[in-house]
Amino acid sequence: MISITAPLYLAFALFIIGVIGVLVRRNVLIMLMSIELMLNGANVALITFSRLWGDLDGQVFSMFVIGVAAAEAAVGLAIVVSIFRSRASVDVDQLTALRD
Amino acid sequence: MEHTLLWIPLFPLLGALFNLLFGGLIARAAGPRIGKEVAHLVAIGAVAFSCFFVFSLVLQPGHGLGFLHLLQTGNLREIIPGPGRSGHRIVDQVYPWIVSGDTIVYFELLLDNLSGLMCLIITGVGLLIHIFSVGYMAKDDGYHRYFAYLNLFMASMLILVLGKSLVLTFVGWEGVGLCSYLLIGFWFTDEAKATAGRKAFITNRIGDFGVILGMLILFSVLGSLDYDAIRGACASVADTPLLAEETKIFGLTAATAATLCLFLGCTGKSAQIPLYVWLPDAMAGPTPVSALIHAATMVTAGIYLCVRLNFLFALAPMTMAIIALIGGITAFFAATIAITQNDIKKVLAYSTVSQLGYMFLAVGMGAWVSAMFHVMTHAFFKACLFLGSGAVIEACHHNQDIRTMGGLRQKMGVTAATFLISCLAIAGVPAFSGFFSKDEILLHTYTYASAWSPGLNYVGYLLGMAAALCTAFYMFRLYFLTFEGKWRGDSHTWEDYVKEHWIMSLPLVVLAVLATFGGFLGYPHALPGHTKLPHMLDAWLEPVVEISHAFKGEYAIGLRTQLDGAPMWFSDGHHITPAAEYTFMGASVAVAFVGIGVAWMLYRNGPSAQAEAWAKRLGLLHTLSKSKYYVDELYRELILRPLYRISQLLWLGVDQALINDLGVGGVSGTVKVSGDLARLWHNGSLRRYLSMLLFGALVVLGAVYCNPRVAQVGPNVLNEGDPGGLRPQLGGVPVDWSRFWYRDADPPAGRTKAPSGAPTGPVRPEDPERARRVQPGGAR
Repeated sequence: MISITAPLYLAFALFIIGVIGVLVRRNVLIMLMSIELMLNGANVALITFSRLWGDLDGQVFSMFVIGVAAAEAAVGLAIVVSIFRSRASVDVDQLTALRD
Repeated sequence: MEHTLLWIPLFPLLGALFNLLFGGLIARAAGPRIGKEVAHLVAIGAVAFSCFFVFSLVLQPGHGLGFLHLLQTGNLREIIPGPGRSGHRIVDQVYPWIVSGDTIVYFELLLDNLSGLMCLIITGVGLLIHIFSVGYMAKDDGYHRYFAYLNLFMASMLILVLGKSLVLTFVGWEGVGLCSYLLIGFWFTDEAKATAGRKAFITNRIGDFGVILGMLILFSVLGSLDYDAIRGACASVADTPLLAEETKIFGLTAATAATLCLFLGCTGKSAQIPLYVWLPDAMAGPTPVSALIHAATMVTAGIYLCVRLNFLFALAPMTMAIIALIGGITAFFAATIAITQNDIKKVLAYSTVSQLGYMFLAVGMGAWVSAMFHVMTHAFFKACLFLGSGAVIEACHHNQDIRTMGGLRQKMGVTAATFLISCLAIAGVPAFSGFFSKDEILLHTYTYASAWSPGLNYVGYLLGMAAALCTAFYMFRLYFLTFEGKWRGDSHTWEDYVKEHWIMSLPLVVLAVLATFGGFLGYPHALPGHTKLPHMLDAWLEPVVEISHAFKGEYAIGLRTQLDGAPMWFSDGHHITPAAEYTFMGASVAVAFVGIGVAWMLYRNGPSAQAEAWAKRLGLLHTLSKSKYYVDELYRELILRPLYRISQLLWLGVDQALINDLGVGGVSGTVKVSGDLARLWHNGSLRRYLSMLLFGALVVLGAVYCNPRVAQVGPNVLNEGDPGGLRPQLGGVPVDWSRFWYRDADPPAGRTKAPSGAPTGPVRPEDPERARRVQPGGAR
């Protein structure tokens, strides 16, 4: 007997690890990676419930999430590269142009 | 032409528009000389056109009112068509002006005997003064502006007298007030003159407030402000709604209340106590303006209004008594001030106030025709006096102090002669116009009486006689000090005086002729030759005043020929006896000559030692008169200062503190403070934004989770004991793994879809759409 909670705990753990990563790290690359973790945590939860209800909607949705994540990674990394080119740094605490 | 009357005010209005819009442009494009030529040609042309219109309409017997016919035959009755004596009127209904429900106010002009007379005075005197202005204003930079205002004034004044309803009259009433303000403050770079303009405007506004109230009372009772409608409502004392019990206001009949309010407006416009204070200050304007607006025409608007509504005023004996009293007091009071003034225009200004008082004395005694008679003669001689003073001021390089003048007769003969004629006229020397009109007023004052105020006629007569004495004295003091004796100014001015120019002398001569002979329009009944030369003004205005004259003895105003059954001494039972008329005339003439004689004794060679001695002997009286009874100071202390205090309180307390600081400042301050606080959050740190995002998400989720009233989603299918809602106790009850992982006990490999047939595992709550979709062979 496995409780439904097991995969949900996994999903929660992934998400929290991602959140903590986003919040505590200053390196944009690491933050992007953490965001991937969060997305995949959400994916796990989607798939869990998909199994629970016995239909494919959740799984299809997670495929979309993966696709969006790929696109996001591509755009995000491109932004990181251009930021690095102009600033020679990927520290988010230095990226305050919009405030100033 | 369809709209005959409309052209009368329209010509000056167009002239004003032309000069306002293009005057400056033309002067700039073609040079100041041509600019001035164009400006005054347009202005004078416009007035000349409307003057021509008025004259042809009033004089012609065929199409107009037939004044010429009256002059020839002395009888108006023959030429009036139609039944009765309704008068020969020309009505021009231009268009429906205010349409609101059942109420329609037409833009409607009326030329009848009264407005015809007024129009003659306005356009005639106005034309002369326009011509005079060409000389007087020749060196002024605001030339086109001056003529534009003057034309605008003419248009407003003509609308005032031609309006067929109180509403339209009020338009003109406000218009002339505006023009008066504009022209008093014409040299607005001088602070004192601009202040005088404001004073005139504000004082007049107080009066206008009364006019509005009076109009509202009349409208609420009668439902119309058309003069004919009011006239109809006043036709009979017995059943007029204006005297009805149910329309009373504060215990006053509607007629009394309305006329009192209207009279308040008249005291403002026509410079009576208590609102006369603006008129002496109005002398700050150019002198021709003083002649036209502040002597001949505009200030008589109040008298015009009373005479126009004579049938209404006749219903209000209390108002009539008040008018007579105020008129009499003003006449005397202003005359005493004029005695000691040293500014040539100030003397004339107080003289105007005093003469207007005479007219109101006549109005209050129900002597409507006499009031209009005096309006007319006063327009002639006072315009002539003012224009003469303008010529003097011009000659003396804009010096107005008569103490530094004298002997000017040697330099300006025409001006001196016309001035003398006008002085004789205003003083009431026989054969000059003022004698006839003033004598008529005094006669009527003595013999007319209201049942409401016994004895008032004697008071009015005494005040009038005293004022006549003062008038004769101060006018000849003015004449002697200005034109006789020796020059007392500096020799430079004497050598270098500005010579008389024909364009300024011509109007003077015309006005002097009118001031001499104008009185014969109201030739008294007692004098010889009356059958040949009847009192034409009486016949001319008879249709206008017939209703209130019909009230004679019946209700309000009566010719007091009888008292307690016995004829009074001046009466033969029905009429005033010629002997009595001669007595009154003799008294007036005696008073006039006494005044002139005293002036001759004291001032014929300039200010004499005797005059000084008299001034000392009178002491306090002389000081009071010289300082104008401190009325301005009194008003300043009693009205202006409290008003200023209240204004300051409202400004600093209410406007600044409450509205600005607390209201507007409070709102903006709150926004600013909250903005400052919010700015702390917006610090550019991406990680902090994200933590807030997370925090916010948690708050929202927590709020949803904790809220017991969030939408119920049905019973929890995972747990039979759970009633549902958003708080399924996921961890509380163990779930059958096989049921969780596969819906069937033995699922085919690779299948994720539940097989057909009744599901054994937990299913979602009923959802027919979903059930259809997951069926094999369904839509999917």
